[in-house]
Amino acid sequence: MDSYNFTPGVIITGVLLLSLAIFSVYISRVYLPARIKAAYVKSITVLAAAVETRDAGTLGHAQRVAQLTMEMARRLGLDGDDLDRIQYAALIMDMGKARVPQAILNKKDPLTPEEWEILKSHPRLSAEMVSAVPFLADIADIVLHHHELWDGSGYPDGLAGEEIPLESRILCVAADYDAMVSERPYHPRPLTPEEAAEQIRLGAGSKYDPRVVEAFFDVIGSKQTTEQKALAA
Amino acid sequence: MEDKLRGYKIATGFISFVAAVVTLVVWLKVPIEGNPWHAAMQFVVLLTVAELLAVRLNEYEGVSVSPTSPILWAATCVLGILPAIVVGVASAALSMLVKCVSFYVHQKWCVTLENKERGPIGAICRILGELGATWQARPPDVAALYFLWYAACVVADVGPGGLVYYWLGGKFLINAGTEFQIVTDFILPFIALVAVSSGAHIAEYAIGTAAVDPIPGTRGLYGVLLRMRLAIIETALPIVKGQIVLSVVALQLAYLYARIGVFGFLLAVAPVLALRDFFTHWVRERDAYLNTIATLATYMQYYHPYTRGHLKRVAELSERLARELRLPAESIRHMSVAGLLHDIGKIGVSEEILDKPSQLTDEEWAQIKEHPVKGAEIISHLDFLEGIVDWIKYHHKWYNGGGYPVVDNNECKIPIEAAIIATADAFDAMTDDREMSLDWVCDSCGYRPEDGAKPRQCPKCGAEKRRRYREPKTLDEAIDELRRGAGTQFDPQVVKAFLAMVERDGIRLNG
Repeated sequence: MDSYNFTPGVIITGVLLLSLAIFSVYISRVYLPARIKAAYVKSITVLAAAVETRDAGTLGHAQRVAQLTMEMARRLGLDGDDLDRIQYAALIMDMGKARVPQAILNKKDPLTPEEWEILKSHPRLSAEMVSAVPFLADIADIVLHHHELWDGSGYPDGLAGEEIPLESRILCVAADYDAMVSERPYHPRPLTPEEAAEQIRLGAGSKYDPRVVEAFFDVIGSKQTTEQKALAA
Repeated sequence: MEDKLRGYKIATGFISFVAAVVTLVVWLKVPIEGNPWHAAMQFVVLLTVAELLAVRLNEYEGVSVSPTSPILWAATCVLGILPAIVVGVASAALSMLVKCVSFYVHQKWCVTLENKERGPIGAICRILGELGATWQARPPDVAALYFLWYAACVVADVGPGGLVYYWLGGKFLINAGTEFQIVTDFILPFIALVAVSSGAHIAEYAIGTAAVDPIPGTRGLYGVLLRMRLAIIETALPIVKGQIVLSVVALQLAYLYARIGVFGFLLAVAPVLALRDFFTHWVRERDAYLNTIATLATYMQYYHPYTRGHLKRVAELSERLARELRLPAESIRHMSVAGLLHDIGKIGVSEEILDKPSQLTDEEWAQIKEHPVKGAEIISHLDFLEGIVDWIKYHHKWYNGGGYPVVDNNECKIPIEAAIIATADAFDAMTDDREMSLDWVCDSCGYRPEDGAKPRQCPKCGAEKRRRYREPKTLDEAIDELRRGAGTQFDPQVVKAFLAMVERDGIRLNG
């Protein structure tokens, strides 16, 4: 006890203890957040899919939109937390449909004005839902405005141009594209990807933000080139 | 409350007696070599600081990494048994004093400052609040009892463990210098020490729980033994698991202290702090996640306005029943989530079927009957909720094998949690006045009163409001029905707990 004995035993023990400390810090700061984030994405995808079972033809819609949205967002320079937020928003945006009666969601005939009003309330319902959760409260705005159009003719608030959050503008294009290429009760047959892309191109500047449409074609174009490459190979 | 205090007194008396005997044996049989008291002071400081740091952690169920025992184990090997006992008792007194003082200082000066002040004063106030949080204004006699219990437990933990260490030839490192065999004189006896001391810890825990929190309806020795068994299986083991992990740190702490003195503390404290950081982080993230998923999933089920109240009441009642039945902490924690999600499989069933006032067709029934399996399917994909899949799947399965889903009765073992949800669900459905919990809207003109009134006749167009499906049952009628169904539809054990709970605490209908 009179002198400090830094024997090999002491040094080995010290190194062991310190590495245990560093290991736990690593686990709690690096591994854990990644694990939890994966759990969030997976669970929210599952819940969104559960809501989609109410609405014929939308199964997988949210997941496809999320994928397309993320790629477009990356091209528009979003990264890190913003990218996570837009992914959650894409998955959740239509979950408000859980509160829209199935009779309206699956109606083949044109909706009456009252039924339209109810259907158009779904972004507000989704936004209300996410604001109840502290973890997701900051995507409420994105979700609320995902049906606003560039020229101000969308709903619920009729915002136009840059007033609409960028993330919502991206979501709008991706969701419309996916709706056009999938089977829905209200259109007789799904459009082919080329026809749907043409519709998006026509909407640039009126319905959709031109910059976002550009990013959309970047994504679609690169997808087609990869597919062609795959075919060639 | 009186009963609890009495049980507490008996248990404390018993453990104190054991502690006194142990101290006497140590005093007579184990000589104190050299002068360990200076080093003992350092251990008192270390242990007190560690106990205060651990304040936050002990709140969390299921995870316990109390540093007290491991540090005392290290103190035993380094200083000797009697000094270690003194260290334990002294630091218990010291940390209790700090907690008590923080509680009163916080109560007197800090409550308002805490939220107003952003700077260092606010931070100090918050720390004091945290330190005092476990104290809860105890009256002096209860505080004394609490201290006595705690100190006696420390002695009864460390004493027998230390004696085994000594008799197996363990050396007290502070006087051993460099001439000791690390394996035979230190590590092997240390393992025995941890084993004996953990055993003693479990025994104390079981005795304490049996005395303070007996299972309702059981009396006498059999009841006590039953409670002890439960306590050991469900709560004591996780605590001990945590301690055994920390004992590795304790082993190294003792060794380092013998070699390099107080610097050893610093090295040993680093991983403990890091582990604490990890557990706090983990628990917070997990709770936030569960909360988020439960909120989203609950909201998804609001397609039907009556579900809002129903789900909340089922969740609350299920959690109370789980506590009443003394289920493991893990089950209790998940019970309210399960209560909120139990009908999630109904998401795909259309409102027309759910709301249909007339008899359902066979096809419509088949759709409704699918909901437990569909719900289980959804939940099986949610991370961290794997444990509740079967609870949801079998919440419409009867105790006698009836109900749905139809599965091979020999293979189907209904988890008790599913039986709890079934009982809570049925009780709430019986007593729920479904129409009254709907938002009132006139069927013919769509008028909705601003003030939330629920008139019999629409004030605007005069139309009669449609009748209820059926009259809700009164509490007595519902209880009768549960009693009649016990053994056929409902699990008798759950019904028994339910009746005991209602008799004792009452129940709120239609919250």
